[in-house]
Amino acid sequence: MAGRDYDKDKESLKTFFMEYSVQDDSGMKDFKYSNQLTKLAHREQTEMYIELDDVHDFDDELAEAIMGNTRRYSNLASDVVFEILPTFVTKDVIAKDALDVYIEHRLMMEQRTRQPHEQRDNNNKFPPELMRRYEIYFKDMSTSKTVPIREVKAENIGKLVTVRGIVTRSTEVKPMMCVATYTCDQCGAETYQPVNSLSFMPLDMCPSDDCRVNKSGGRLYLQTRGSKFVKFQEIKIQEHSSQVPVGHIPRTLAIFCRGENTRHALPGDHISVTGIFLPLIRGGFRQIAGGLLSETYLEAHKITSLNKVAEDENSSLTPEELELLGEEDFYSKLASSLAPEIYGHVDVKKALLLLLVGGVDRRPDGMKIRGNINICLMGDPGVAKSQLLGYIDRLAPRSQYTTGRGSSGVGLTAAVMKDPLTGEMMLEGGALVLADQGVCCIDEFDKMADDDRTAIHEVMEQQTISIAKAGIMTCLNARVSILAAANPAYGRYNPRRTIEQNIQLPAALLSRFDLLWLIQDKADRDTDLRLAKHITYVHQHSKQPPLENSTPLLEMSVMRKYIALCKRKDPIIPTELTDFIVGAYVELRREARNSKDVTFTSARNLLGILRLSTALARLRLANEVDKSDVNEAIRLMEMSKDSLNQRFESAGYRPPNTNDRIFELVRELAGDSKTVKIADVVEKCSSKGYNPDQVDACIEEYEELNVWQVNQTRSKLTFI
Amino acid sequence: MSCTLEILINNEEEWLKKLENEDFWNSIPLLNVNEVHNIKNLSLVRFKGMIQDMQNPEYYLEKYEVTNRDTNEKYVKNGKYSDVILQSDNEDVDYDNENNKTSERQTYVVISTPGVNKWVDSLEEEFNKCKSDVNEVEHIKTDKRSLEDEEMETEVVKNSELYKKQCTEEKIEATSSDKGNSSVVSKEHILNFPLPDRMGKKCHVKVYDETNTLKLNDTVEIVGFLSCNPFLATINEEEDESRMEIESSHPPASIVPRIHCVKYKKIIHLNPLVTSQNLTSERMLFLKKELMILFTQLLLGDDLAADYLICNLISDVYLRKDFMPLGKFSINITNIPIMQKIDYTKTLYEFIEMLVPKSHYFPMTLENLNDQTFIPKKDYDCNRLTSGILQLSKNTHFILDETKLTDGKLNAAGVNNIKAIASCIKNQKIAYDFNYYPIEYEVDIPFLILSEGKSMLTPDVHITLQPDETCLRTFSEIVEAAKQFLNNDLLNELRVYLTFARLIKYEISDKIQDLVQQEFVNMRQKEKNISADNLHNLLVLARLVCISEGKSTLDEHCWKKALHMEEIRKSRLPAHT
Repeated sequence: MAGRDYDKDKESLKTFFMEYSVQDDSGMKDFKYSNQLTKLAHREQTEMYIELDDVHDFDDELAEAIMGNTRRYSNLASDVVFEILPTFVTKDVIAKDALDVYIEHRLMMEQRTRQPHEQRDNNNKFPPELMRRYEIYFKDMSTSKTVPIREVKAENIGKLVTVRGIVTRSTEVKPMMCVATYTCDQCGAETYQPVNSLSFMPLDMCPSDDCRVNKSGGRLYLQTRGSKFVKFQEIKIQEHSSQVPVGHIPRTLAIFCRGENTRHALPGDHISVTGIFLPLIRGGFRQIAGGLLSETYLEAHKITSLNKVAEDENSSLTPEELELLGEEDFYSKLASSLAPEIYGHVDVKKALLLLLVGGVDRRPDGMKIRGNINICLMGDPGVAKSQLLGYIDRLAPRSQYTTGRGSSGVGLTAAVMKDPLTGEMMLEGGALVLADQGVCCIDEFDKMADDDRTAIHEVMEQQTISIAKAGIMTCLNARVSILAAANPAYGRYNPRRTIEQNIQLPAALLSRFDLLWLIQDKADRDTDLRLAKHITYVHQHSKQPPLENSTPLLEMSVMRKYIALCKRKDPIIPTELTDFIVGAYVELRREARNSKDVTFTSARNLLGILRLSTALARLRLANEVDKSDVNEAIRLMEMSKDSLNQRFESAGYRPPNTNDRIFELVRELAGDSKTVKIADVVEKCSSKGYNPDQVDACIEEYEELNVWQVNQTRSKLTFI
Repeated sequence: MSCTLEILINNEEEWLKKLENEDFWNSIPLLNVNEVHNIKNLSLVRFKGMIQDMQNPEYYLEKYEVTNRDTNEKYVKNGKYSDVILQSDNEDVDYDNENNKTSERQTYVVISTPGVNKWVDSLEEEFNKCKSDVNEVEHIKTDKRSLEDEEMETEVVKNSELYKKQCTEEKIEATSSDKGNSSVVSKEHILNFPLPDRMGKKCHVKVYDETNTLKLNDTVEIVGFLSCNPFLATINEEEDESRMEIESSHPPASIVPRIHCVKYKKIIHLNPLVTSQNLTSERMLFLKKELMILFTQLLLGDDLAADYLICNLISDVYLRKDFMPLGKFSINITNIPIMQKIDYTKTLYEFIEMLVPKSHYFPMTLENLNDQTFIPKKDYDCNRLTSGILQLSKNTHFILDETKLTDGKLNAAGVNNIKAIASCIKNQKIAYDFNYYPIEYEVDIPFLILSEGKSMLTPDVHITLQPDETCLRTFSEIVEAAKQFLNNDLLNELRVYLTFARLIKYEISDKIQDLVQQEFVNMRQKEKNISADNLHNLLVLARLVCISEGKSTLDEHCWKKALHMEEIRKSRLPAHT
């Protein structure tokens, strides 16, 4: 930026302040900065943020220049404001504190004693910093990206950068001298010394004309009341764990906050800081010793505390990734990218994907209907239940992994502890509280302690934990999705018993799970061979085998980003669909009555369908739930029920194949009448998990067998 | 042959090329075995170690202009590879000159690789000790010291109480001796080693290239300029509130010398005996047989356990997919006999220690579990990573002696320690504690757990020892005989064998792959309990059997042998309840 004309920039900044305006909704011009300046002039506001977006609108070159050499422009802007501020005073300013009175006095004194235009000694003049009661900060362009702490390098020195991190240390807020004021014991003249670094060398001899000419050797004394102090705080931030490359130690960055920027962060907070990256100027001995080295810090201009949940979601998906996600069958692709090393179980993975995305919370009239989806995986030992849990724990942005027993005294819910130092009672949250707004994976769910079991009822429906222990009565939020894994009570799942008997959990608790999956380990030649192929491939080629349909698996980070993106959507259920959903539910209930069902179908299932379908709509990034979403939700629910029910295989019995089942459905649909609309058939079948191709195949097969006839437009079936 | 800073900077290219030459590289004095005060300041040194911590990057003046006050001449000086500005009395540094160039360099904290066994150290010393008159005296001295260390080490292991006492004594000593310096932190605090009972050196290494290929816990060999300017310590003198931090990150150069790295290499193995010369597969088969004889005797006549032990000693993680490390092979030998006169586990470890380059023996007593730190933790007061026992480099064998465990209560730290070991065995990953969040680091530590009953940890393979009566009775004679058996040549060759086996490139042919698949399907048909994990384990075992015999491709023989081993092993396990 060599050769920029700073005077010219000063002028353009001045015009910017006076003239920049935005049109508000009513078409009125809002003079953003001059309004703020009026407030500054009346001491109603102390800090003013100059948005670089606005400067960019006004003069893009100037904005570039500011970003490249922010410190200088920050001083420049401050000077400009100082010059033009008196013109904004429209009413008398009431003195707010001692310093205001001081300033007033000083100005009065100056007018009284001095001749105008008299040349004055530099030390004796009021330094502008002393009189300023405002702070000017820059706000980074909205388009500029946050830089990882790791990428803040030597070339960023002097420039405006925005970084994100977690606060690891913050000092107390201390007053820092920014202008030192001295009085002379001989002549009484005031001398000022602006301080720009962390330490300063106090002045000793009075430099005023009186003392110098008379050689009276006046001594200077520091005067606390007349000096100006600003609030000062030093904080340290450290990279987020997601920004640290594998095998590296997270880096830290020191940040100096002054004035209004202090007290914005506490250790443990996630913050984003815009500031100027500067070398630290050290005086005296240290400079010589350190010589070659310079420490650096970030001078804070704006500190924003980030919501803990929405932490890394700023990193948006690249166009290629988005394109990949826009592809046709990406729902199954996403699902198969979940825990790719665990073979098969596509429906379970789909369900887990929906759990990660979650349904929409509803709060009609103070009633709360949870959107979080709870899933319970049951199954024989060694069917990778724990691995699935572990994978979800890794993938979910916020999660807790625990076993039903809980590892410490705190257990799953919460415990009241006595602080060993102060003797005070305090609450310590257990896994469920810690996983608030996330996923809580509970392994060995069946081995849970009794207290926890009662508490978990509340968590799973009301999403809170009530505590009444040791005089502490409170209600903690536990808005979690629960992913549980349970082992059957007698070592292996016994299909002839009910679920309660198999897992020894009460029905009240089981019904709170939206989906229950039974994963069984069946020895089957084909799958075994595929499994063996899969494993030997990994060992042979040191990588995952290519999938059969050759779709590349998604990376964990991409999935995480996409899921975060999905969570921002709040799809609604259109009124047209309500009848359809009600119908489907009634159907479910009827079936449950008719067949010998080991599970229970209750009103909770209806809510479950709604949750699953909103989650599916979220997954499509749609704003409205579609019929296909509901069908898929019902299908998943059916599949989960099937996994529990269909366990009576005896020798010689041929299990019905797809065509048989579809035919069964069509017959049912037809009832007494002889004709059925094919559109109805397709719809019905899709809700049972059959795709149109399968339906077509079935129709053709039975047509060949002369069971029915299809009309020419292929819209109706007629039984013969 | 000495190279000074100026010579190097003027012909950087040429010198870098020169360093490619292995002989020249090896002629540079090795700091690990030589004392700092015997090496000239600002000369080239070599250092081998493990990266223990990484600090924030430093900004330094790569080029700066100096004005000579007498002649008024101006010239540019170089700041690369040095800590302080080299300026004579009549020179002034112009800090604001626009010819100055600020650059970035990275500081790594490198410590002597933890867990390196004595034979490696003494061999290194033999090869690399500088031979000059002054050092001759020093040599004797250090020899003496290492003897003392040895004694101390054995004592320490026997009695952790004593160790603690020594530790505090040492601390007191360190603080009192430093009192003149009025230092806040003790020497031990500065050194910060993962394994508290091993001596070693520590350096701050400044790396100038920014490629970022170095990772935490990597073992590296560095060539660079030694810098122990007393100025570095005087920076501390100024009073400051963050004194602890400054003293920890700028320790006195006499204890922690700085090395300005010119070139570094990653080390794959630390065995000084392994040369570029290959062992033939016949020789390897022979050596395996010799090793089998040794271990079978030491494991009280149980050749199956001996076979598994060899596999454990040559295992390493060769592939990582998401969270599944392939190739890990931690074993648990149970039914370890308790002998009256001899500490059996300790004796067994002594032999392992003699054979592998890096190992650590951990008596799993309650006190040890409760009091020692296993997981490295970030200390924000000192701004550094405080090390823990599990901060070990690749392929450091960890021997857990569970026979030492007694009844009692584990405290919270103990529970966490157990958890850390368990996750390390299962995933070969350790989550370091950064207070605000944990970060997982990949490790590769083969565990050998010796216990009476089944271990409370879950290793990959659990094998029940079947001791032979006669061996039990004559164990002390067996030990003597084994020591005789291991003459120097054989011992050295066995050492090479164990390291070399790891380096073999291994593959599975398509033919054998089909066989494996068929076999697995059949197994599944027969027995329903067999899961995917079993196949993984079998393939790993087959690989280890294969490379232990010096072969690089899996053949039917090795596969069958692995199957057979597993079968016998399983038949020994107590029946499932």
